[in-house]
Amino acid sequence: MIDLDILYQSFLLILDWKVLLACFAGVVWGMFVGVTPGLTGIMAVVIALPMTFFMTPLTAIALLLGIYVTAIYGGSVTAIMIATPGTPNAAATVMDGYPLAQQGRARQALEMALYASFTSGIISTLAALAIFPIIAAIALDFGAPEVFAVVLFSITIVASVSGDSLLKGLVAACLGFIIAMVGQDPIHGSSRFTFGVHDFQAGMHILTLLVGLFTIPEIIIRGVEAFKSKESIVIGEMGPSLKFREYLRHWPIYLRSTVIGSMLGALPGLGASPAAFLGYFAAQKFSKTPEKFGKGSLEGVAGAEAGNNAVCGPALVPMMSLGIPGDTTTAVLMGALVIHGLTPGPLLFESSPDFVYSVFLLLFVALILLLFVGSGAIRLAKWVVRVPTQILFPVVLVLATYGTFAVRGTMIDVISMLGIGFLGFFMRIQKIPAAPFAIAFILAPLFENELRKSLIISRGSLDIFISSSISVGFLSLAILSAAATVLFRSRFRKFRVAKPSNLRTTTHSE
Amino acid sequence: MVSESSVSPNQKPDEIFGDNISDVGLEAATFRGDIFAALACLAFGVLGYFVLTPMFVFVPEKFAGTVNSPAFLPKLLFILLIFLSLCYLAQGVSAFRKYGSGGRTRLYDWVLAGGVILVCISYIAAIFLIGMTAASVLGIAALTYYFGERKPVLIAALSILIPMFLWYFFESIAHVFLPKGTLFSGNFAELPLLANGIEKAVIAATWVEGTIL
Repeated sequence: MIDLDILYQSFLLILDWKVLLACFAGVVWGMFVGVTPGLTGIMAVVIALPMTFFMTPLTAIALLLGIYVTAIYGGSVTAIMIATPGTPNAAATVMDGYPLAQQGRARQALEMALYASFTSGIISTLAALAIFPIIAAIALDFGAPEVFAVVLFSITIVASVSGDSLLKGLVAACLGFIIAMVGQDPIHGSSRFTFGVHDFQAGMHILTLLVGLFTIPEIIIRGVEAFKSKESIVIGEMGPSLKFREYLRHWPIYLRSTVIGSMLGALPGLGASPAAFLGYFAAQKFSKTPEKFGKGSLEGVAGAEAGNNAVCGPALVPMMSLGIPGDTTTAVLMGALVIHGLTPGPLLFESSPDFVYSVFLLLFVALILLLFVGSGAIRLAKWVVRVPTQILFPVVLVLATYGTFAVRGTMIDVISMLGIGFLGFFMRIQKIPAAPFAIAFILAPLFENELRKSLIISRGSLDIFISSSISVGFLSLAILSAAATVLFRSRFRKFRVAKPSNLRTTTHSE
Repeated sequence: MVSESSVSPNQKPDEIFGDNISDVGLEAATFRGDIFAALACLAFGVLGYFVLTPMFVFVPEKFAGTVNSPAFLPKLLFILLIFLSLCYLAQGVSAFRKYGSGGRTRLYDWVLAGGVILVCISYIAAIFLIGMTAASVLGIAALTYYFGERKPVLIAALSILIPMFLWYFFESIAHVFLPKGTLFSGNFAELPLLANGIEKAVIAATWVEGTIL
């Protein structure tokens, strides 16, 4: 449990103006990087790392935590405004954020993303601080079969984001899985579908796929519209602000997504993207209006953003307590601690408990600063909606190209982005949903890695998946979730056929 | 075309679609399109299972035929894709028989979309030749003009200022070194590679034309 004396001492430590200034600088830099497609949170942290060499450990970690927290939210700004996820974590936000912006409700979407990120960030950090040792112990119990069961459960989201046709969603997911096979086999390192191209050995980067899948089809479709229209097309107005009542109404979503994000954050290797998709999925499952998801639902934005930002605090738990980084960004944070003479692991809490508490307190500071800086970013976003399509989308194409290139510095990513974009365009005109494709691509490496690791451990026996209560629990949840989705879909279809008024907008795939 | 229209459950298919095939916009999926998409997925699945996996997945002899083979999951996925494509095809054919083609995408829209795709491809190809900054100047100018903007000062300002800012940001701040292109880097050794690539593409296209079409 929390030692209040040490907590108070830690609080005094972070009140140093240098620490607070570093945190603010990190938040501003993280926001800038987040809204720039191609610059990921990890890149932002790495770029800032050399600057921390001349700082005290606490000032350094304040700067890096500011970046870490804000970059996750920053990605949602471009996802909502121009359908280009600034970071991979914002992929789920595009699905409802961009339609909301097109409906002239961009401000509401941006504010919902900001407040959901803030709320879930605060709750998950509080939880991480309070139950620090318990989370660490639970995370230790997760081996390959347990993580595989979690991933399998996550894959059942595909059915709920498949739009009107489950079959098309499954085809898209299958294609996403296949594209994820390009690169090296995760166990043996054998080349798969690299076609002799060296740069394909590392596989396709997630941002390459997301930018191609969501941005290029939008450029083509909007380009055709702009060409046919003789007048300037402006995306729309920022629209009204989010009412406090509306914010409060989504509390159950924040809580659900926070629980999901916290769990996934504490598990090494999963990261914020699956948390965002699972948060979105949970929001849809419990929504009274699930049919609005994918067409512009504030609940969808809240679920996704609360999910990805809830990862931050708990991701630090295995890193600080066990010396196991939760994702690549926390791995760099861990490196920063080592550079400054602190060794993350079980001894850190015993040797420097004030530092550990200070880190969590700094997360709160970063989240509060995020509110102010995020509000500023929303004010600036109003300029984007005033830019005519004729000008906006050529610039978006160039930004997408630079962003994709910047991730790994190779042109093969740019070519892949364009190829995926064209595939995405043909999928879109045939109403094959892009979301299952993206989810499958994100989860495929984890799925294969954990499945094969489990089978190697068990020497090929499937019994390993039912040998622990955690994996049995998640496998049961996966089966229940898939069955519930199929049942829900068939009932919902019957409901729509029975009520002619609901057939106003109907697609043939129904 | 059914999409975006008011449909009553009592209406017969003929009343919904009419006898004539109507032209529809880009984003209106058609049953004919469903059949083509299903056939494309089916062809990809068959190609993947019988050609791509055996040729482009290196399987260590020790693991051949086991669940730990690097080819195990790709094969499983291609089988799944073939199965799903067949279901998708059956659904498309059934809908086609029941309701007709569901409309035809306007040729004009295809041509316009093709134009955007061509500009995108030309932009990426230009990066190899003249570098990312110069290609972006041309790319923004070409696409802005294509999308209907006709103010030359605005086009010039945008197409110069944005690539300049991006060049400064990525090269000086983020330390990402952007491609300079064969012509500006002085690395003319890449030109034969480019020609070789184009030659291979032409050979592949000829093969596809002769064998499949």
